[in-house]
Amino acid sequence: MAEGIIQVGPLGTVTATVLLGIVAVLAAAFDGAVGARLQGRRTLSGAAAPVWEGARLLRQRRRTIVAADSLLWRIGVVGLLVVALLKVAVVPLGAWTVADLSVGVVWFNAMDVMVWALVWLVGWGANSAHALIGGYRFLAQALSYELPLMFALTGPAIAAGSLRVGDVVAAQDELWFVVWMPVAFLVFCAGVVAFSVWGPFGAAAGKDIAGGVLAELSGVDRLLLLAGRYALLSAGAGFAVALFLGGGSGPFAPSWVWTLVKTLAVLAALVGVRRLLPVVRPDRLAEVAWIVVLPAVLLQLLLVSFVVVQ
Amino acid sequence: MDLTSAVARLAARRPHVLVVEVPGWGPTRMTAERELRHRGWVQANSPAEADIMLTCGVAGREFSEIVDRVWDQLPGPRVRIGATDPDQVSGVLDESRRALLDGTVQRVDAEARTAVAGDVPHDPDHGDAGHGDMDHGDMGHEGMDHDGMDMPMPGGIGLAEGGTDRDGLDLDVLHVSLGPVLPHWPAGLVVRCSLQGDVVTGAAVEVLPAAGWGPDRARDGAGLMRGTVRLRSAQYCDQVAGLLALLDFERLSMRAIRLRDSVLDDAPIETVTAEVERLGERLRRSRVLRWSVQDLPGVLEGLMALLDGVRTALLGEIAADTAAPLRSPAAEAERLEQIPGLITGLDVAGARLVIASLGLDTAVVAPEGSDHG
Repeated sequence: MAEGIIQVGPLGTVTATVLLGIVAVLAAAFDGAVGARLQGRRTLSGAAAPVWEGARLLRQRRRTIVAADSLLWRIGVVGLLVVALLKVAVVPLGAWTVADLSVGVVWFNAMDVMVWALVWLVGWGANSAHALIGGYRFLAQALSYELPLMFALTGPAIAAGSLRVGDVVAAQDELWFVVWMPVAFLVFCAGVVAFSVWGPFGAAAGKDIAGGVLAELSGVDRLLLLAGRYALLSAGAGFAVALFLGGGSGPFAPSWVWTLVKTLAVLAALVGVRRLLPVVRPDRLAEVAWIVVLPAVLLQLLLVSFVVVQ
Repeated sequence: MDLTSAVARLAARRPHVLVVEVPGWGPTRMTAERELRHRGWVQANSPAEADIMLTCGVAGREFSEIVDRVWDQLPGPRVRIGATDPDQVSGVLDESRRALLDGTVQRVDAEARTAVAGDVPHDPDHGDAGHGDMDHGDMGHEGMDHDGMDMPMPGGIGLAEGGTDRDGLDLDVLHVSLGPVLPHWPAGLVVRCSLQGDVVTGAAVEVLPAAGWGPDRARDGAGLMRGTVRLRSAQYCDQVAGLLALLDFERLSMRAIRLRDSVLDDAPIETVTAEVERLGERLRRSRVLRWSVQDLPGVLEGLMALLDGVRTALLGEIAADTAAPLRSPAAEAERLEQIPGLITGLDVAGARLVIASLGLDTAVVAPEGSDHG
């Protein structure tokens, strides 16, 4: 067990779940507020959007589609939220963590590979052409983002000499990893946006295919999937803080406050990027990901390895 | 009961509206979009997402049948409304919100649907008839009847046939109709595609006509020239916004939409042309935009041409004080015929961008029952 890290009991798990929910709702509210400003309406009316949308989807009926693969479809729908929760389990909040795994970094990576299957199932299960195309697009996109993301995760692990998230945080006592691993940090953030099917990497849920994987979802199914996307963004932001931004370190306030503040700041940036950039078609992304991003991240690793050996 | 109505009231604060445009009713649709934005309502991307379906215009026979089928896909609580004039939009939206909140109306609708679904023979494997919705997704099944009726048919839907793909490999062919109810899509256009994966391997194009001439064409006949020039300009602007929306370039598409609304609001020509210049400059400078459509010949050029159309249509107003000529039906038909050649070999995303960049005006297609048709 890492020094100074306390593994919390069952009550802590519940707290982590509630906290993830709150952070995800804040992310949705922020997105609503930005959208309202862009459309020239009052910011506050946009910030309340998650409440209204939640009520709307709870009131809406679910759909039964002819020849749909309902079981797989619903596994995909619920899965994103579950995966986000499993990710948060290894993210320390100050000194507390739900599961202080010795392979925490690998655990996070394993969970984001699960997203491949889940988004595909949502696209496949609905027996709808648009949703299926959304599923194809996600897999094509995943081929581009997953390897750079994996290597970006490796950087902090090499520098800390451990796969335990607590050790990675402790290793940043003197200098945050973001300072000398900026490329890995940016690639990791892009990876988070990509596995959350969000903004520039949201082609799988694109407007041009009537919402893609979202096209056939209504009611509580849709609510779960949208919540899952925000939860994935939140979990990713939290993990970025632990890996690159020194976890809970900071002056004056207790460490759990710092973890939350930093997480919300990263999350705001991830959510905001949606309005700034156009969606990247997966076939365009592949070229950049393999020719530019992957070598860049490998060079970053080389640099990290040199520093560590020195 | 109180909790139910409280949730309903919260839910009705931000309903999602599926807007269906019939060729010729562009102005009504644009007014509807603006009204939705002012109210903070959301434009739905698909029937599954929508609470309200708004049909702008009077659809012809075939189009109405499709709209009926789309209506069946709304999950409910749901409300169906229509508008044939921009002035009606605000009123019918108010009314639709009331109907959405009316528990009795919604219960009657839900029970009627359940009863209908109960009569339909149901595949035992998918037999929760209690749900009532018999949705066929967004797939058009017209193209899916084949001779081999002995094939396994899950849910009564035939399986995809095989075919040789562009690399010579054997791959399933799926027949999918794009349109007519699709966001940011030319009104009434249907492109029946053969898809392998998400690559278009063949396409046929058709426009589903209205039941009569739309108001913009009718006004043209009535001599409201000034309005028509403004409408032409706004239409170009709307197509710019639509193409940017397909790219999910929200900041810029919102700018184009505001410009469109200011054109419709009779903003001074100098203001409009200045904003066209600024937006054009912004688009030309955007490397992300250039890069993302680089592999699709003609899309960026088409976008710039559409933006230029906003200005030239308005300048026509100063120069001659006559209406910019409507495109001739023959020219428009020729452009429609080009579509299959342009999109075959592209994926759906590319095909949609290419079609959007053409700036089609389906409103000139003659309506059902007219002499031209």
